[in-house]
Amino acid sequence: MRFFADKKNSVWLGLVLLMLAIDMWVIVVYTPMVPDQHWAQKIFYVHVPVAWTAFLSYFVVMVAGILFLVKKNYYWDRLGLAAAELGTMYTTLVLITGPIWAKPIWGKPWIWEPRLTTTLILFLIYIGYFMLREFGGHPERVARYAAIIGIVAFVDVPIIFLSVKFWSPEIQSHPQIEMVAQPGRILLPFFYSLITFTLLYIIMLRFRIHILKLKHEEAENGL
Amino acid sequence: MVYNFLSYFVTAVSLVFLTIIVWFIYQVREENRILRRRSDIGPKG
Repeated sequence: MRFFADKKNSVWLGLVLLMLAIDMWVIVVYTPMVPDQHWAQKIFYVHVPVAWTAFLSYFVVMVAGILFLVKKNYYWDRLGLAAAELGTMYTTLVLITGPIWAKPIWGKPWIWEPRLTTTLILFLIYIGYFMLREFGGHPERVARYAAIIGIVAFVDVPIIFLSVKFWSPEIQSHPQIEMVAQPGRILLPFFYSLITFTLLYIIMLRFRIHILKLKHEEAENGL
Repeated sequence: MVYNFLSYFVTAVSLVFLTIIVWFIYQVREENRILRRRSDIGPKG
């Protein structure tokens, strides 16, 4: 059965698309223009939710990894793989949209400061994860090792969040602390964007799990 | 201001949405491929 043949899924997607359209309208029209940063600042209404989604996805990889090691059920392996793929796609977007913002604000797209570096490390860990998935050999062993990498890799996520506090805090302020102090016209659209991207992520994850299940059945039946 | 809007904001936002759109297209195509193969092989099996 097709994923979007299920009315629940198509309604969910329709709702998310509508929410995204409203999100874009609110960001462009409603949110205030921050002096000195102008339009570049508005990238943050997309950049931060994308980063949140990436880290949420890696959290799912970790939980799925633990559950796979405990229960030995391949559903958790598929969930882990789907979440790893989406997490890496979103991390790639974070690593591209960040420098687009940084160029006009910092004057250069990339500086080797803690948060950027630790995010790049997380991305590289997951490049290794996919190399293992592709070239690891026996599927059962690959699933086990991938689960372990997914669990260990998540250690980097809190390091990313706290990295600015650990090292050179003068380079970049911590967005979460700053966000609380922001006025409602910035804060509300930001949280709305966060919810919208989370809902988009959930439908993408469920769609990808569906595809991986179809592929698994295809491999099992020798099609 | 217009330069700032087009070169930074539009680039970043359209990149995010284009990536997501391409991702959906790829998944739908993959789903179609698998289901087509199933229906091709199904009647013979």
